[in-house]
Amino acid sequence: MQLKKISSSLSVASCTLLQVSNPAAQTNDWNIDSSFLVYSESDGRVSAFEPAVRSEIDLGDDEFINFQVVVDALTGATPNGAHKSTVAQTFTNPSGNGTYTVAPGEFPLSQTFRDTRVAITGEWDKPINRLSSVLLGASVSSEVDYTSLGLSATYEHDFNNKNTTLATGLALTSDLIFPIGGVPLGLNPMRRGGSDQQRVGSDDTKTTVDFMVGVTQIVNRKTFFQINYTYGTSSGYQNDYNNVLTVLDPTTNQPLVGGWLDANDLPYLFEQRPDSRTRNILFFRGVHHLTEDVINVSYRLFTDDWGINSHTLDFRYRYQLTSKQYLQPHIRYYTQTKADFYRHDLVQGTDIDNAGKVNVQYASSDYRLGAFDSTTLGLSYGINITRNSEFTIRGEMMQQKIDNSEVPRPGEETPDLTALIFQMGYSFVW
Amino acid sequence: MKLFSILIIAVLLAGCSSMGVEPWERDLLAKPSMQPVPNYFDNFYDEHIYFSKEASSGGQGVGGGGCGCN
Repeated sequence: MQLKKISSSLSVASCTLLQVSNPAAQTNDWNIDSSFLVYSESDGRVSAFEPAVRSEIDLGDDEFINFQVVVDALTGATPNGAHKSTVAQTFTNPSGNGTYTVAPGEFPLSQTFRDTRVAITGEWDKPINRLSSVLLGASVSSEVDYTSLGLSATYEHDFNNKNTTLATGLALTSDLIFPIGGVPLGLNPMRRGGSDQQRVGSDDTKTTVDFMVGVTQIVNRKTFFQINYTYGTSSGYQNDYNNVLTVLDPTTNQPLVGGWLDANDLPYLFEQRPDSRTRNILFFRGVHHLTEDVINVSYRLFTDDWGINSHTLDFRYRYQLTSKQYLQPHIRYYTQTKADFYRHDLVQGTDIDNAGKVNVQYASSDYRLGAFDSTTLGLSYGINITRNSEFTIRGEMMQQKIDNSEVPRPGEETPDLTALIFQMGYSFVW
Repeated sequence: MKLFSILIIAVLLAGCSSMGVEPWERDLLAKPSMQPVPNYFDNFYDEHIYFSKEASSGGQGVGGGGCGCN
């Protein structure tokens, strides 16, 4: 919701050429933007309630400072990485103290969890001269098992009579992960609840660096487009410490019993992802004004050295009902290939020898690293209540369709996922 | 892909000089509905949801911080 000024925003290369500047202004107005999100997955999986408020202070002369606070309350159950089986499966809680059992034929979900995340961000948008500006950002996010600190800087320069903006940005994110119960050793067995969990420390770290260069171009009075290229690297701990893979006995097609497993081992190995990842992203957005309505379309090509390639297409059509009200249908389509190390399970005798030696370097059965398509359909409604206040409401449905074509046996498929998204927002000038 | 992307941006920059509007023709471009992200929190929540549920993220810009949701 943009009120008096077209603000830059977190995670979005802003576009100064679209702003209408008022160099003499010294307003000190506060633009307050508040919103909350309710996110709910089918089959009792994750639910989230996420209120947020963002205030932007107009310091005049195109200089702005903004602060944002987001609280993210999560509850529900998530897939633990094991697949369905014809026998009951018992798993240990992340803490190592308790256990939970999944019935035959049921898709294994971790026990219901609760977590609350608080994230605070701040940005300073400072003009350098008539043609260039810099946007400096800082963020901190904290939850029970994860802390993230981030710094970013984006420089923008206008060319071509302010019809072209070149933007370049750098962001550094430093994460500290505190797995509940300690860091499990990748590709080693989950241990029975209450036994020695053989964890390898209490925390680990991850560092992410992103570099972006982009151009925004006004085509004519009704059209502009934006193209960004982003190169990103992550290094450090990238596992989901709650995720395991089933060790399958190929003679029974059930989780392994006995063999090299000792009395306190369960037939599930903790996942192990590479400790580095390099991403290349190409992003395009085009915006076009019709007589009254506006089309906003974007496409993203993503590729990384884990073997994941994805395409994202996003289309929004803002249908202007009146001068103060609009309806906005939204369609998003996403498709990704699987990571090179994505595995349905690890097979005894092939992936693991009879002494328990694992013959693969990396493995994960996190469905988010597998192949799937996702489609989102949504509708927003917005109304300007006064000249400087706006109310919006949005409902969407996301459907993830999992590619189970390589699942070797019927009955072990990963189920599709449906999620409902509801959002309400109010913004005003104070 | 890096070289390809940089090449595209260079070609676009060269071709951009023939596009554009005069300062008095920015009326429609200045409308809130014509901004790259017309609704900040729509975009913010979408980025957060899909970061948590998909293996891809980013592309629109840099910054904003991380979380343990993926």
